[in-house]
Amino acid sequence: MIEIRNLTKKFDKLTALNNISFNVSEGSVVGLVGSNGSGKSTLLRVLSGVYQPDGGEIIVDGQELFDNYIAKGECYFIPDFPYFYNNSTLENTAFLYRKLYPNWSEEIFNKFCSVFPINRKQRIINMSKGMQRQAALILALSTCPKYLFLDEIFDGLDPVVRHLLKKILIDAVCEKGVTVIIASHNLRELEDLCDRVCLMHMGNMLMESDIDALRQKMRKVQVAFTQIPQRPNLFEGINVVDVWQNGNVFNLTIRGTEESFMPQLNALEPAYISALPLTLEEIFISEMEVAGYDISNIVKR
Amino acid sequence: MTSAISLKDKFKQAFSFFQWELKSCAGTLTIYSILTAVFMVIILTLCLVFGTMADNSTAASGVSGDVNTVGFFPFTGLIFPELAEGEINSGFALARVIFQYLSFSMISFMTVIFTIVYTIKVFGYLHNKRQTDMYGSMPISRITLFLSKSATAFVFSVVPALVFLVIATVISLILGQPLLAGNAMMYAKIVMGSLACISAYGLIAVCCGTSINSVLMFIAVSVAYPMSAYLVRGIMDSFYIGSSSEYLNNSFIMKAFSPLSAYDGNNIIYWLVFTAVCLVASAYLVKNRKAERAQSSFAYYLPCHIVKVLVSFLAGMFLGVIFGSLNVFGFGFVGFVFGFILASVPAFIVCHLIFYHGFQKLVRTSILLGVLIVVVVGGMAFINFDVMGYNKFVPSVDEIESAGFIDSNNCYYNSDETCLDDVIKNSNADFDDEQRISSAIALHKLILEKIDDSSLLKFRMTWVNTLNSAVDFDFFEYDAFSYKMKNGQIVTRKFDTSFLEWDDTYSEMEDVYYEDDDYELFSVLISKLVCTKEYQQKYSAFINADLDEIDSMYMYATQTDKNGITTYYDYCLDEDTDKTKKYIEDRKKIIEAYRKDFEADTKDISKAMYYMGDYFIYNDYDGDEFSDYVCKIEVGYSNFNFSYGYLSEELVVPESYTNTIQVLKDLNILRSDGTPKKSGKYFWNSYDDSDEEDSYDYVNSYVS
Repeated sequence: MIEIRNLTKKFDKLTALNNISFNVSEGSVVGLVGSNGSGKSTLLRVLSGVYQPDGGEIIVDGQELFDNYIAKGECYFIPDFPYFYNNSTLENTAFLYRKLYPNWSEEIFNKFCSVFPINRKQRIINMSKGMQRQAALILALSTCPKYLFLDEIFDGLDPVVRHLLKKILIDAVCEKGVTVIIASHNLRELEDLCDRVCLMHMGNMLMESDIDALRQKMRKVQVAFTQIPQRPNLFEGINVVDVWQNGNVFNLTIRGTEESFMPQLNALEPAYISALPLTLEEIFISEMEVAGYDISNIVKR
Repeated sequence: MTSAISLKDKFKQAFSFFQWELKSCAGTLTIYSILTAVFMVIILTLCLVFGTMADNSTAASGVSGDVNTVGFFPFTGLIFPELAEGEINSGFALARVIFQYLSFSMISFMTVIFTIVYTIKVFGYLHNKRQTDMYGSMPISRITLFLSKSATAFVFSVVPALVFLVIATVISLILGQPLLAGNAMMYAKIVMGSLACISAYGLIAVCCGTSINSVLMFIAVSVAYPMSAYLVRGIMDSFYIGSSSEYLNNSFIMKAFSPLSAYDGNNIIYWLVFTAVCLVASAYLVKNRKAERAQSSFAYYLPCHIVKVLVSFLAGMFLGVIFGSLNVFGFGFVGFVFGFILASVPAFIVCHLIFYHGFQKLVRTSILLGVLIVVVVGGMAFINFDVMGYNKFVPSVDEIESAGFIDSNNCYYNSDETCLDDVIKNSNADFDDEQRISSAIALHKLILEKIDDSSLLKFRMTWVNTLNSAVDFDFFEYDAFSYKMKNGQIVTRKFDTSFLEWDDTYSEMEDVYYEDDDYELFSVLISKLVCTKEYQQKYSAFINADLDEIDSMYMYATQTDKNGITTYYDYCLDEDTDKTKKYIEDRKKIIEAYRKDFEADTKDISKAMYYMGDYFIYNDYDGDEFSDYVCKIEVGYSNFNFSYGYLSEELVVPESYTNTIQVLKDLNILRSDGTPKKSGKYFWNSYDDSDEEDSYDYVNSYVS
């Protein structure tokens, strides 16, 4: 289990992570989503022991993580731009990892080398971006990590490999209880994969929630009226996050369950009403708008 | 997960890193190996071809090919002292030596270059964000990682060098030139230099955020520190007239922060401590280093401040001394201050721009520049105006318990064992009689009176003294005093007498130069101190030098016939006159006999002394001053204390020196009646008063 308590990380005057606290239970898949510069990659780097926290602590299975090579032997971090030496191949990199990582599995290494369409003797630096990520992933999975930190892992992967990756990760979680934390802007992929999601903005954790519960908490509602009721505040009493009107049709994003807002909407006697769950992307955009990060604000600036 | 990793496992981890790094640096290693191997083969081929060609041409001309390698390649003897003692008598032998010299120099040079390249590459992991991500997340402690990287750089430097040095040594052995001691010494220097450079660069790399900053800082420290030290030393020597910093010649202080100096092979203990300190400091800092500093200017700012101050100081001093030397504003010190500020401020700003990639924090860090300017200007004022009265100080007779005087032209010492400053310092108990102490004080005062102590000259002399301290090219003639005061303090002063200003006058009417009266007094006072049996016994070469150090010996005798024509006889004890090399033993016999005669001499010692005041043969060759000597012996010594040359003494053999005369008779130089013999194996030349052409030839041949 990973416990993150009051984690703060500053780069000179910039606070990249501001007093963040949350727990990641074993065998879960956590998605880190947020705006650019929100601190997702920084959080992963702190989690993987690359950066030292300026405040707070990260406890992994009861141990402080920073510069703790025993704890780090159970973790693996694939950054957004994995580094390989000029003449690194999968084989010679495996040579090092075999001796560094206590759980290195030759069997898994061989298995994934055959699963992914990759030549283990080819220079990794000469491979495409997507192939390099696959190489990094093979090495990561071969170390049999207990905790896997992935930064923008879906970037550059073709749909087939993306699908394969998701399957491999799900298998790893299900079969070996691997805990995965993924930072990504690809919310569609996260939606399929994550149990939980953390939404970050400007170094702060805006919310952290189970993904199903999150979906339940917000609804996209379309309401059509034959004649719009003449009231000063049409949706008073309903927690409307966003509203968009086209003639007599209203598209609403409402925070809350259907049970909580449908009676009030029905009381307005609409001609038509339908409620749908939001996609993660829609939730993300809505929440970011609430946090003041919406397109209209950016354009105004 | 909680199982601890044993030390053995840590070593395994470090070793696996080393193996991995080996792969990553394989390209660089290959380039090093190819370049070194190819150069070695080229050098060997050229040496052998030219050597064989030289042999063939010598054989064809029928001339014996004596080739003095030390003369041919002036530094060969310094690098391989064994060669200085031997003589190379064939082109092939010369080829072997040249191969040895060039291949070993080239291997050392290549090793230094590639050590720096490897080191920059190996420590690049601290400066590249992507590498930082990779290494930072690996299950290895930061200290183990850093130390394994350092060890890797070290092994990459010294092992390939060892391989190539062994190959070169084997080739040399096959060619018959076994210089194992020289080769081992060269390898030891490579090891020491690599250790110091890698550890120093490692520390700098930990402190810096980028590789370019690290390299610039390494260069700045390696160059700016020794240059600053030389400049400061030059200023101290110039402004404190009579002071000496010769003791700093081989001191680690002069090159303390310049790790490249470790390749000199001096101060091994210091460089080992330096390496250890750098590694410990690096290990401590790397553990706490913020990984996010990669690709930013610095992780720790202290070295940056040091380098900025050092470079500003050097630039400021350089221009300051130039302005002082040019008497800008008509007053050297003001010119210095102006020049110092004019150069140090831009240097500081440029360093800041380079290291910080912009103007941020410039104002805040400028306080260092302010402090530097205040300290330097204050210190320079203190020195320039001689606040302590150092330059004018001459002790009185009452204050002195004993004293010593050294004339560097008349002082032999083994430069491998001591230095002139130590000889001067240790001479403080040479005499305690009031007469000689008074003479020393009078001479000291006369020198102070005749020396130009203007600020302008001091600034100009700074360049000379700086150069002298940098290249150790001691071409001055010193007169030095050492006083043991009654309070136990030792006071020493060392003056370069070639800069004394004598008021010689020239009479156009008579076309004659009139020497300054004080010069005669100066000479008399010196002779009172130097031309004593005690002084000669303690400081002359013919008494104190090892007989094996005798490098040349010539003899001169005269004979005047009844018509008043004087014939001059020259004898030469070297291989020109004796191919069997028996002359080496004969030289020793003559000096041993002379020593005996000198020790026993009570009657003619003043006669011998007259010449002992003039050691340099080109200065005052004064053949006829005394007509009642039997002959004169001119002895040259190797391993002389002056780096430019060669000490030569002229010894007079009076008639009472019977042991010496007997040896000369035995060697067929003198006849049984003591007159010079115009034959014998050591006879070289003779000419008389009427033979001007011969005389001219003699001088020319001698000088050449």
